[in-house]
Amino acid sequence: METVMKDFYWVLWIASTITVAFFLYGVYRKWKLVKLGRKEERPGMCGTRIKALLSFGLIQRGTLREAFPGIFHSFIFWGFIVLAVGTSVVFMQEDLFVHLLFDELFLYGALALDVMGMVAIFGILMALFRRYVTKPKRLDNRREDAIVLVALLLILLTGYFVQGLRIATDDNMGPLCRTTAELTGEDILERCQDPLYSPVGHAFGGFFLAVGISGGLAYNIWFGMWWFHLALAFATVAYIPYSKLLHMIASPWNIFWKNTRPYGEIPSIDVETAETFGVSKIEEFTQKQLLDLYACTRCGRCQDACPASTTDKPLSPKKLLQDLRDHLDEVGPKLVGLKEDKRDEVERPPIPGEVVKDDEIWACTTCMACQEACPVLEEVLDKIVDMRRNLVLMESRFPQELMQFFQNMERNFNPWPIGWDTRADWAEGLDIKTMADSRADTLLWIGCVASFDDRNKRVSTAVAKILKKAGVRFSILGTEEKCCGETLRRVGNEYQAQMLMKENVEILKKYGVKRIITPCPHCFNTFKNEYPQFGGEYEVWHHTEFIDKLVRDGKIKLKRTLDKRSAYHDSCYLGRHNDIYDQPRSILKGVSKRGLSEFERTKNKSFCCGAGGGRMWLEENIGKRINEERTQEALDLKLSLVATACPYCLTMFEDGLKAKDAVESVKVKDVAELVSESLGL
Amino acid sequence: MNILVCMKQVPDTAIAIRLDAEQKSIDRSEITYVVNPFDEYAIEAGLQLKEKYGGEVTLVTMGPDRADEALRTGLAMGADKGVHISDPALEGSDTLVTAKVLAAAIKGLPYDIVLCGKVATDDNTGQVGPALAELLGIPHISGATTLEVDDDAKKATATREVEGGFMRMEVPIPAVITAEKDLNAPRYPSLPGIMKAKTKPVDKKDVASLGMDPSSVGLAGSKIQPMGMSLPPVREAGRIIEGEAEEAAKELARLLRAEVKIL
Repeated sequence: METVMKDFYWVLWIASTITVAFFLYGVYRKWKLVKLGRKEERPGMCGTRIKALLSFGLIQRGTLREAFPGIFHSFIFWGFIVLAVGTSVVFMQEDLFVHLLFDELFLYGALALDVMGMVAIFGILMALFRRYVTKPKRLDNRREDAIVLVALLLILLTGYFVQGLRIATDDNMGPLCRTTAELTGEDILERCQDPLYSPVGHAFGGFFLAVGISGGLAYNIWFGMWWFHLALAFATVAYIPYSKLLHMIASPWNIFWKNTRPYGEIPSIDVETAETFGVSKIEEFTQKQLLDLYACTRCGRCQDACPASTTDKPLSPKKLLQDLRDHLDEVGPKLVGLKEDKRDEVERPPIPGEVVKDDEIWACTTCMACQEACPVLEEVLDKIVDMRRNLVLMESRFPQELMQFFQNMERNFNPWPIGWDTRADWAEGLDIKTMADSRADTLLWIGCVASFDDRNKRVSTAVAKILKKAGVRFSILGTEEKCCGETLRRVGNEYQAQMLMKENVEILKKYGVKRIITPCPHCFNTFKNEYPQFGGEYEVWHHTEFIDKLVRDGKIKLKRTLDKRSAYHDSCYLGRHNDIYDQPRSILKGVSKRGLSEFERTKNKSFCCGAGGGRMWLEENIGKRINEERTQEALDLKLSLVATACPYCLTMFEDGLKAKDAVESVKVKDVAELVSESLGL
Repeated sequence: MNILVCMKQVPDTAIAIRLDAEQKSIDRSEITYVVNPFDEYAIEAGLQLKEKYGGEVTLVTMGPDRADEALRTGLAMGADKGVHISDPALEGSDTLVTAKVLAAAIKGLPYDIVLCGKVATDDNTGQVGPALAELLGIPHISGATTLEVDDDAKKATATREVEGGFMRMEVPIPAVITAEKDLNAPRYPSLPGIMKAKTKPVDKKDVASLGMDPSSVGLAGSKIQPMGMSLPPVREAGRIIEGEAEEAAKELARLLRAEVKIL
């Protein structure tokens, strides 16, 4: 029956040409917008990239991290993949006369199409249900969401109608069968009419027959439905680059170009000779950063994971990406084709302050929860840091608390107005050597908080005692240690950060330091992932990693002295930034008589203490307090001890417990303190 | 409008001060130096005047070579140029000599207003600004918490905080205004500002080029001679008296009488 359509194939050719033209033009325009960005080196490792594409694309690893949305997206995705392959096969056999469906493949193909269409329909119904009935807070509904879902649903339903109506006219040769038969000349009708290979189609056919649609009537409706189905499919394809469907192209491309550098590394910028710093104009982002904007489909997982969003701060990673995307769509077309100097004449608002508000930019704790949650590997942190860089380095506009912070850093190389000459006071009487006294390969790098904060000094003391007990030969820098630059970098003061980093590289070179052990995950991340940018290559250990190694090597023997219901709170900079989840837990299991509980949000889903990204030094005036949210989680679990591995986390928990009036019932201790107790030091 | 700002480089107050061997001056070996915080308000006030009326902000400082860093900080904030008076002969100058040297440097420059910090945090005298006004023969307002300058009417109005209230004063300009800490919020230098500051012009002067006799400056030319310096006594740790209230009170009274000797 479908052969009658061959007379109309000229219409199809014209329609498909128009569709492809619309599609390509749309993609081309987005491509030009993305190309407005700066070039960026995303080096090699094609294997890793293809692996990511298979895992996050084909296998849908990212979306499947959450059951319901993961399943329906996968249903729709896999369904349409199979249908697209099927349609392409028909095209190849019908129009290019390439025989692909050998043996019985046409039957299995028909079955696959029949079943996967239903799977996709089921997925779309789930999606519709979620978006318009359960309405999770993280979804914002735009018109395109409805258009896309309804269009896809109609394409699938009309497909079944076409098939059912065809069967109702007693024509059992579906496209796969028919084109195969035409190519081979074999008589395969008998096999093709077996309902086993197109159960849904036959069900629809049965339905039409049952309601009395058959023969000529069925044929007439079929004829109309066939055109409607095709028109809808063509329109939807043409719509792809103009709607959220663009993610079908942009997201896999984004996944392919994923970051292969260390996760916790913030790229360096030239602070000596550049004329502008950070990002205030859209074209100052890199092409990959702009691609991110089109790869986002507003699923909102980032928003649910974000400690700022979930405590009623104005920042939402999703909104930030969407606002930037809308801005790119708006001003980008005016910039395309203009030379760089002419672009400055195009009137538009600055990005930090207008497109993304200052309060959003400063709310980020750089905890990386958003990026960890994103199914298409968006990068958000880099954009926030780039905007902060612009605010600090170009505009000198930042929360006023940072003014004092910067001055303290400049004068005393630590966040407080405390003299640098007191940096090593914590070590007095502990018989710890400084590098100046006794040079050692291993440096115990203390970091600012554990050097100056009274509570955290107990942690540095514990670490030093453990190392001594294990017979590790180490020295500290004493008053020669300066802030590692981590926080300065994350609040956008790249200039001051680089000065400190370069000075530290020099001093470490002077003493020939090869190995660094540090009780601060922020220093740890910076030394490990960012100092190589300035020629500082060291073997860097966080104290929990190192203690774990000492235990495994039998250098220290842990006793089970901890008799409290306890759980480990993951530091963002150990966990998500550096994938260190097991070592602290392994140590804690070794000292605990009662095993280890887990927070509800734990490991890579751990909830930030609220101090990262410079937030430690800023007032938290908007919304709920992040540390109190996390502390409440500990109280709900009825913990009596929270173990931490980061000076910031320790401080934030101490403050949270005070605010919750739970200082007596819940203790917070660093892993090193618990080890020190276990060893009786 | 030509705006002059006098500034001084001082030791950062966060660093523990140690005395030198002679106990007449401080040990400078481990000091971090900063711009006198009150001078930062003066610089900011100058920059705001420039933004309003145009013209130039010129920084003037007297101090050793290292004081150039302080000048660069002010230039990074946005000042246009600097005058750096540096001469070994100036070592030990008292406040009057300092004011004379600054006045000598300023006399050759065009100015509509001279801004200073109220006091330098190191020697804490607060004399140089007023002395400078006297030597220049112009009025001054010290410790300004607000400042409005009317360049057309050639007058300046400022608020001073006095015991229990505020005092508003008006002076014709040119005048010397010294800045109190609530005057404004000094800006943070932008990175382009920092980079530009490296090449902004700084006019180096010595005593001879100011037309002064070296014997009239420094310790030799000063009327004030330092006798000695001493550090405050180290605060002892607190003590908690244990025991019942009655006994503890007795013990406290005994200690106050026998050890602290205030009863």
